[in-house]
Amino acid sequence: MKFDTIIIGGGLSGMTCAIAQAQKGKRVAVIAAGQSNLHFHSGSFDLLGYQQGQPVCDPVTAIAALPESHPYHRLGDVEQLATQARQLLADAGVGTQGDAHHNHFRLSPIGKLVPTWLTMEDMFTVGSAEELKGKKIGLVNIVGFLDFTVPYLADALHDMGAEVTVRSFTTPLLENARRSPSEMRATNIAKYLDDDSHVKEVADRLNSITPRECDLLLLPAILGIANDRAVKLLKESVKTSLRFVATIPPSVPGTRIQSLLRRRFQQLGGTLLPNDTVKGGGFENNRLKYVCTENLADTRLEANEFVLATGSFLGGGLSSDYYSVRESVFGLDVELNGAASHVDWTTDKLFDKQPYESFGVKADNQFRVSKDGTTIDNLYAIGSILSGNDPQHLADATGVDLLTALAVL
Amino acid sequence: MNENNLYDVVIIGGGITGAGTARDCAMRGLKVLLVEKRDFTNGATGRNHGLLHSGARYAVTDQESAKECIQENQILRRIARHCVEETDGLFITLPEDDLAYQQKFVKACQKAGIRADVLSPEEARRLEPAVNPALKGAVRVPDASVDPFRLTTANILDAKRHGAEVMTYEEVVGFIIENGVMKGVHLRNNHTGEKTDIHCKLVINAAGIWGHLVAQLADIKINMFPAKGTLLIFGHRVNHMVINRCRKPANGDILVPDDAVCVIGTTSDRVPFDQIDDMRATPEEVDLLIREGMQLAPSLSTSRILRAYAGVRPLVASDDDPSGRSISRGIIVLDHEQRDGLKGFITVTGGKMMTYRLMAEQATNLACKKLGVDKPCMTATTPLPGSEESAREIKNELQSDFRNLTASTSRMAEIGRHGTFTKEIPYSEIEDHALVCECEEVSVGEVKFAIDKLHVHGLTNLRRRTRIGMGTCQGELCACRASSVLCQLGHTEAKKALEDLSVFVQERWKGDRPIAWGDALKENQLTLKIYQELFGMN
Repeated sequence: MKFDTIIIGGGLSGMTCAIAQAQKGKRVAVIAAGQSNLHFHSGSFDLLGYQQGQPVCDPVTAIAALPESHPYHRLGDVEQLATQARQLLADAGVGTQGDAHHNHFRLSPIGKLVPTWLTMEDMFTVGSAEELKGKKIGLVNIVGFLDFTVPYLADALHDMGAEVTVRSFTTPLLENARRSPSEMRATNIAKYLDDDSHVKEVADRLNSITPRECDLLLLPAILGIANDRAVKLLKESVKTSLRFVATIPPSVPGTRIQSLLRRRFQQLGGTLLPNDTVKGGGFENNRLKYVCTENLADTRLEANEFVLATGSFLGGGLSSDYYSVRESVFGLDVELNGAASHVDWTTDKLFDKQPYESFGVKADNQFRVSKDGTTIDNLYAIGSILSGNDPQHLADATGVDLLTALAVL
Repeated sequence: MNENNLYDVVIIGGGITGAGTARDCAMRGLKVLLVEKRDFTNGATGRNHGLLHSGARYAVTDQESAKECIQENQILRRIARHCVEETDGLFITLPEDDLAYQQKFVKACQKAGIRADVLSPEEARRLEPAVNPALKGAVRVPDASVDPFRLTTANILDAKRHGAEVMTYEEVVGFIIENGVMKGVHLRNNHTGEKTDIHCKLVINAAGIWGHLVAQLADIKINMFPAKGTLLIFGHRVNHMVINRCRKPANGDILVPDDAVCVIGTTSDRVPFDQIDDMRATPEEVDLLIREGMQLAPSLSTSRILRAYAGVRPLVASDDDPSGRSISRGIIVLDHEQRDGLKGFITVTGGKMMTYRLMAEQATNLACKKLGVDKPCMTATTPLPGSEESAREIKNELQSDFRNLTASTSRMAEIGRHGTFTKEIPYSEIEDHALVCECEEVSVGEVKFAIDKLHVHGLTNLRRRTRIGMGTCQGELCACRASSVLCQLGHTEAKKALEDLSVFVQERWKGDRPIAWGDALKENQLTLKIYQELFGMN
């Protein structure tokens, strides 16, 4: 089988790159191993959230101060790529609000205000904590749903000056789901509620328990697993204005993004090979000629160009053992920034900068990778498998995913 | 002084020794207060193999210890059956070991009253498929696995049932001594800093290695040596039987199955006293344990390591040896009236986790003699709470209950953890059924029970009482869920609970970092993705 472009990895970065290439009219295939980091998604996309421990106001401008090794320095026009990324998401059905020159704040699952660039339209955000002063907020949960930390959220909102009233509800359908206690996770609940009559039932319950004076209802993000139909319907059917807050994973908004991006890709004529893993490939004259997968053992998948979007350790793009760190598929060159022994990969304090978080494959200015010191001319790396980013201390993960995906090829 | 506020005995230390001593004293009618500076099982009790020794390990080198072990082994199987898993153990001889040692070993076991059956290598491989197939000999002995957390909790509960009072996070910061007579203790609350005085007739120092420092508060010197022991937990239960090396006891030669995991250990190294509150496994210790563990069960080389941890044994040099070289691992009860001229002060130390009952009996015997109380010890024959009925009897009783219709595996997990107390776990509200921890199947109802009955203030307490966060995911998601549930049930204010969560996650890292490669590194990236990136914690 022959394609123009083969993308290895079906997470946010891989799917974004795949859609962008398919839009150019290329024949694109995506080989996706399974779940991705989208399962831990907050409903927001970060460009650059923090620098030296302080929230960043204007991410595009602040990028100049990042260390040389950061992938953002190899992108070219960041602002243009950011606009492009937002449009691509919107075209796929992921509507967002936000401004690359001005971060806003999302409310984290434990009630922290976290600076971010784009947030999905129905998720709760504020420009600043002051906005909430005197606001009457109804914080609503499903009875026995433990992945929405009501006490933490209530306390945080209260600290910001809001008047918080806590409510909970259940429906016969949810009671049925509860018979197996492990069903009470966000994505499972979303599957139960993905039906118009059930959404109407939830709306009725919400209308009946909404406090008399209430500016805003906040709900756990447990609606809209495949698209935002159920979300829209609920908003129409509930009298009070309504927003969602991210839950403890698995993330419903993230799952929705995943399925919308996949659908968009397939609508553009792309080929998706789900639940398959690349085993290896054939190199010739510093070019990758083909790859082989677990499911298509004897078939060579050929392409003019290949993109590696397999993620960091968690995604499986990097793997490690007692002795070394390697790139999992091809054994490409990796950058460990001098941390040779596993003792040096980590530091004592959990929330300090962990050296291994910046490990990744070596990539040139066009994001081309190398093997045994030689650049592979048609193999590119994007997203968190790149070295030099820091999802925790810069809050740059989804920005690196999206922007590098659009910058290559 | 109001007679009602005067305790017969204050016991210092909420490990298994203190808990067992509190139970014994209370059962003999003494008015007891137990004080623990942090949480129950925080010291060596919570940081060992969880091995119910048959005594075979000591048979060749220390007959007395071996006899104590086999006696207590039999007793705990009767009185604490919900804490014991009857696995049996193998002592294997590998090609590099001397098979002649096996004969000496079997003879010594028989002399100590320990059943020791010699098996052929084929038989051993059939009984325990995980064992190193290269073995050239094996002996089967009645080793077993015991849960020290459950065992301590059961002793605490029974002590309370017999009238004892128990306080956690209360540290002894000084003694009230008048004319060479112990009159009481000065306490400081480690949560609030509040100070109180408690009066009593007798103090029993059962603080493990910290007993050295406790005695110093009374100007008494006990020659203790902190001996660090490091262990590794693997994410699978590779072996069904305890596997030991049939040779002179050495490092890393015991592999114990515990619930759904298994534990290899240990090392033994002296450490200075200023380190005993912050034990960490070193890379060298981890290397050694992996290397030795693979000798016992080769499949450990491909098993995921869950975490590394270390405890401190209280080794005591005998009084007539000021150099401290002659160290005993036996039980030591010091009568400080006789030894140091301080009336009303007793130290119980040395020994082993699984001989705690005998240690408690000896300390209580001495206490009763001092107080003029003439009551026999009943702890060897009275079942601990939770063990009055067998798991099957409890299950049958619960069968008729509507609660059993759902989530029966989680009910069985509860029976395993709490024995007959399972009946007290509330399931009256819808949310009580919700699962907080999926790996270990802990429900909101069980958390409520733990808060009400088992001295739970925070996540670490809850982990030790219910196994929350001890399964394969090591608390990845359930720690946050549990912390919010604890907060919701009205126990802590939100900011404190979040601080507790942050400390909990960082504490887990202490055990993950020494093994942070492969799956453990991947798991840590997940932790950071969730707690730091998604939650915004720092």
